[in-house]
Amino acid sequence: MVFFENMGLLALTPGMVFMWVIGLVLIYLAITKKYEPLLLLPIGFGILITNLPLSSLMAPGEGLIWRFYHYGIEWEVIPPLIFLGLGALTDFGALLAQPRLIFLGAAAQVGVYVTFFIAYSMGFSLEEAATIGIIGGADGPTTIYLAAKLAPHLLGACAVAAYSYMALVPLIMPPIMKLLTTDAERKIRMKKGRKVTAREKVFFPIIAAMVIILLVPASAPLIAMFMMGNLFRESKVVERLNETSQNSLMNIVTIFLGVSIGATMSADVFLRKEVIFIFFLGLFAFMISTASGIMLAKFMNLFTSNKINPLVGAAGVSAVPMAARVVQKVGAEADKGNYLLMFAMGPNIAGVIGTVIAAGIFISILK
Amino acid sequence: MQAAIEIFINGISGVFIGLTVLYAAIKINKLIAGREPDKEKP
Amino acid sequence: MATEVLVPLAGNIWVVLVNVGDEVEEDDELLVIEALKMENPVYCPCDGVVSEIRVKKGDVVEDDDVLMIIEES
Repeated sequence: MVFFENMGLLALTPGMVFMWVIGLVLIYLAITKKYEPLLLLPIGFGILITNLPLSSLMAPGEGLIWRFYHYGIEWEVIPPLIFLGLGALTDFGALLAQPRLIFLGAAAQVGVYVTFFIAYSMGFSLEEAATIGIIGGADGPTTIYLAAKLAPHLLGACAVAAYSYMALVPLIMPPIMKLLTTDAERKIRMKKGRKVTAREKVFFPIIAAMVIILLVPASAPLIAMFMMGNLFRESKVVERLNETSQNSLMNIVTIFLGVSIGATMSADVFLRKEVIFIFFLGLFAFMISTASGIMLAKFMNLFTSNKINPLVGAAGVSAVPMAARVVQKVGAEADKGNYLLMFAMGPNIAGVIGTVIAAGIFISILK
Repeated sequence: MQAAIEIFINGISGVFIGLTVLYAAIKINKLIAGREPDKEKP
Repeated sequence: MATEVLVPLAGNIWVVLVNVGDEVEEDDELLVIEALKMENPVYCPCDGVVSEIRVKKGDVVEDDDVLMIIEES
């Protein structure tokens, strides 16, 4: 019967079944362990359905999911829209009150470049190495944006690595934080920064967008959206746009993003030894970024009497606000009355900008 | 290898330069827009 | 001597754990402030009796607002 001839079941390969397991594991982690569920759930499901043969969901030009992927990611629309939402959700107050924390966000990007260099030495191309390196920036949309531009065949692996490690930050960061700091350093209490005026918060996104785009034009799609979202938030006169950016728009775009990423991970693309390297390199990137943020904080302490608690440097790893929460927790373990959370938000958001700048620089050199 | 080293150096310097300029911009922002006693209320 | 308990970080009051008149010791948990979806306990700075509580669950508080007054014993 024709019906049996058209069954996808006949075209199944062992690789596809293995990918089902991966998809199901991600769904499990999302639902049961609550690891980044907003991304890992649709990604997991996307992996599952893309590995069901003959569905033509990803057929170029006609597949449903292909359309999401092509118009949303390949056309680089979705990551900037996510940044619009992130900007609307971000309060730059912690950074504006204590601007020197920006350098900790810069230091954390060292992990990106060290990993880039090592990936290249391992045989990856410059473009591939850059995409793997940017995982260390701990920023999902930036990773996806860069992968789509430089190494689309690695998009799925890099995105899953980035989001997985972002969720695992509470496990990855504390051992490094404790290794590189003394008990006395962890107990440092920081002086509160001055109050930030509403006007400063309105000027900031405008000034920042102009400064950064003039210096690194390739970062414009992400930075422009990020700062516009922030302006929506701080101007207080477009609450409808602000609310939509934070909620409905973010949610809609996240749906398309998740399922598209998952759907790129078909067995033939994902089951290669490079992917294992990517996962190791991604973890390494996170670890180096954590370490370099801490080390710069310690270095800065040599030159100032207003000491920075070095733990706060780890928050330069821009998994917002997860990394800041981990800093708070480790700080509170050393001294329970020490509230590092808001200080940690400074480097945390600076790190987001830092990662976008890093991606912009990769793009301007490699494209 | 040459290209990789170039990217490494350009990249790290670029990030630090960019964020240093932003640091300066934040300081200037404070000078022009941050008047402590006059905290604006919504 | 009256000691003020100040807000250590801006957020919302999640739960108040003591009542006016309670005897408290240094480092007891007085209340919990929620910020960035984290629960942050606020600890008592000294031994004494709670004489005033100026906040309740759900209040939005800023840095250095006064939360409670403790009469030191």
